[in-house]
Amino acid sequence: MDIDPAPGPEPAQPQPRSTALPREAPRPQPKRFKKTSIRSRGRSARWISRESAAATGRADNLQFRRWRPAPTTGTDSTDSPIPDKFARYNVKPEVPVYDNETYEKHLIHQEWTKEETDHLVEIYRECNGKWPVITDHYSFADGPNRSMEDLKSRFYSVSAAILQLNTPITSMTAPEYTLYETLSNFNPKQEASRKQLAEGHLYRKQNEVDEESVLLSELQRIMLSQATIDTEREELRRRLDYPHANTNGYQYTTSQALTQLWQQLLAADRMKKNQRLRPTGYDGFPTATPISARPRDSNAGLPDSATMPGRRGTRDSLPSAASQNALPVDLSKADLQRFGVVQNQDKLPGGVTFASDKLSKPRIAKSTIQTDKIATILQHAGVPELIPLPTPAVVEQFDSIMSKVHALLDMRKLKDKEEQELKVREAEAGQ
Amino acid sequence: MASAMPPTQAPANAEYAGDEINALVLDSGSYTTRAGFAGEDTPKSVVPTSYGSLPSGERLFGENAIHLPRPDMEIRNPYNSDGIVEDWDTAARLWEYSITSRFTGAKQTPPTRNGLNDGTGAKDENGDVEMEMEQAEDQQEQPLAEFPLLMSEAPWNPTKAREKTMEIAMEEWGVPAFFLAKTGQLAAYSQGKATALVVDVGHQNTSVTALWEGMVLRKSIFHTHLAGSWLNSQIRAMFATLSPPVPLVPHYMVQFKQPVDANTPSAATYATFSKPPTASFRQLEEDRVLKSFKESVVQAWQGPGRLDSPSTNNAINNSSAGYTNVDYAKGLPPKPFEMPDGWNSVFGIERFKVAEGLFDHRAAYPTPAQPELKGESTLPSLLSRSLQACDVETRAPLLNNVILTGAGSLIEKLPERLQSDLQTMFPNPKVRVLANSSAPERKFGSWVGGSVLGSLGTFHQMWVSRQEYSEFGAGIVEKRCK
Repeated sequence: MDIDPAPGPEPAQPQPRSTALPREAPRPQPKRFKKTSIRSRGRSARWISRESAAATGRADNLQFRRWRPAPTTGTDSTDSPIPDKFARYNVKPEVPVYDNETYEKHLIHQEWTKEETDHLVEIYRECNGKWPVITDHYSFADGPNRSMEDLKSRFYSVSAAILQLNTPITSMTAPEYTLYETLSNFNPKQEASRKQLAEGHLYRKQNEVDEESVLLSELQRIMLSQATIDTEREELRRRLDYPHANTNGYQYTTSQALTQLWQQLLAADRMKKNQRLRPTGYDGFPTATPISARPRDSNAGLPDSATMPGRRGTRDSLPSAASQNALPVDLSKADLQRFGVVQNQDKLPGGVTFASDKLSKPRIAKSTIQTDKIATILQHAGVPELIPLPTPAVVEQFDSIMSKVHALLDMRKLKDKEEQELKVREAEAGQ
Repeated sequence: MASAMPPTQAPANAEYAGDEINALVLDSGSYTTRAGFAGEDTPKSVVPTSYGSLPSGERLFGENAIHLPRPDMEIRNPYNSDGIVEDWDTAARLWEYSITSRFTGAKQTPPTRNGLNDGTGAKDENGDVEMEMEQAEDQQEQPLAEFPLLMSEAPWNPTKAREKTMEIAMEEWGVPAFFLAKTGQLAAYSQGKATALVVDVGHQNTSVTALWEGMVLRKSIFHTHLAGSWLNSQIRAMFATLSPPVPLVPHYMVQFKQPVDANTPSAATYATFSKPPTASFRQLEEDRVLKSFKESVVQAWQGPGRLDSPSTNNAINNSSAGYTNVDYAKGLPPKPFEMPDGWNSVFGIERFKVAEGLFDHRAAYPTPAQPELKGESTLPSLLSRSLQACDVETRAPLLNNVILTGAGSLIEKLPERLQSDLQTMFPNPKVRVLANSSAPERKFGSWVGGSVLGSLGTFHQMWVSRQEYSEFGAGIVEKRCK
């Protein structure tokens, strides 16, 4: 058949083809069945029907005919019986086995005769150990009506006794022992009451069932939306303003870390002008020895951050700032003055500062004219240009002098202004 | 035991446990007898259990025979109304017929007649050559002697009946292996369930069987006569109450029919017989018409609630307090039905009322045979009685696996009604009614279960063989076939 080539894009071909036959549409081809694969074109398999044993668990020799593929090679020309594939499903329940003497010695029970016990064990074996079926099939003519709990308790006690006889308790393995325990701890009364509860539960009324289902659905709704509620709360918190901790709080759980934190806060507070923290007895000084007497190499109590070098450039270089109010040594007023101990320090500037700056810096003003003016006033007052030693008293005095100097300068400025104003007014009034 | 697998996962080859030994499965009921080979999914031979009995004593089996109008043929049934075999001889012949009519080829003409032995002796009056009896017997094959036979029985079958069945199978037919299983158990196996509460709605009886992990709980077996045959009587009573009463004319009486309007008398020519067929034949044929009526028109009120209880459906609840489900059902479109002779009509509320007696004993039509129904014979009360006889812990799993099977259960909306009634009776556990949507699977549910069982590799240890029978006698059936 002529199969036209696929009508693909042929842009190079212009219209001069119009004289040729019109292109044929691709014709629908008849369906052809695929050739069967090589494998099945060979000879088909042969099957033979043979008798073979039905099941290995049977007492008799029942044979069934089965079809099986004929053996291709000549190895198995005789029909060997098919191994029973289902033999492993012939599971039989384990039953306690006892003979008469064992029964007489260990298994006597007031309400149970030997025949009835035997019957029970037999029924257990036949019903594969399923208790609802056992209760159903159990019917002993001479015995009273037995409930499932009665049957169970008798069977379990017999099983436990036999188990114990076969392997004494001391030599039982762990699973055997647990089995023995469960068997011995069977409580028929408890089981009976539990069943009554179950029965009551089974026959609940419709409104109780509805109530329970409503509650359960409520709970489910809550549990499902728990995650979304948490994220929403989180988002809400983020939108509201609250201080964010940018450090992790967990590093301060040990007491050592806590004391370090406290000392850090203490030191930070000391830098402020208005100290808010009060030194407590737990600032890391377990003993009361004066710091000078303590050997320097043990840094146990000395807080590193507390020693501020250069704060006191003078003789009183004792690290008195470690204690603010509570001194390790009680000094009298005269001693305080003599040693130059100053308490209740104001906020000190950080870094290295010179005390003599306090005597020189205030003299310098923003403009040179002002500086000169201050210099002339001080000269007039008799304050020397270079003061050698800036003791606290000297600094105090100088501070008061400088404040007076500033006041004086302000007054002068004001006076000049007023005089000028007066002159102007007089000049205006004179015209 | 192999553990249960999720139903969505196909079993591995090794787990299939299928081992076909070509066993025969015979499931006999009071309406039909089903037979076939194990491993197949439908019985290839379905034979009506009713048989025709001629005055000569000859019995006619098979559908073609009994539906032929003969002047002197009586229709009988080897089963009694309780669903147990009464006439053993006929039953044995019937069962043989169900198998030999389909599965064996034409019997070879016996050597006495096949013309190969003509030279050996003189022929007697039947044209048979005289031969030694032994030879003749050997040649006469026993058709059932080749394959193991699995038979089903009613769950309340008495011990004597079971032993008799076994005797027939072993001695008359000579089967190599035999087993007797209860129909409820087999129906559950056909659905793939080992724990179930099986409700089997048959022709003469509806039965309830509880199955726990593969074994039948005998104390839970109950049965009632509210089944297909009873439904037929209800329909007849309903026809009688309509005005004018509905004429029930079977097919064989009608020679020619013409279309007529609804509710007008039929304009058909009826067949005339010199000797009309017997009343039992007419009954059988009328039942056929009623069967098609059940299949097409009858519907069960699907609940919630009984037919005459106040409607709880919010969509249709009117302000009037007396609005019942009846009023709602009356609002539904009625269904038409045409009789064989052309008489036709529509049936509205009546088609619900006939099936209502299955659930509500006060709503049943009174019949001359039974003016009143007992409250405990309805389906829901049957189920509750059956559950009461089971252990408490088993009740919830059983209610979760209620299997509805049997041809009588094919009435529309019956599973839904059963589900809603059971859930109302037991509000707490989750009630699940499993009704296979495929009609042949429900009609032949117990046969399919027998097919499953007979082809199971793990079942082959349970067959009762000839050797065991010869050792222990017929009493072994009680011991082995639980």
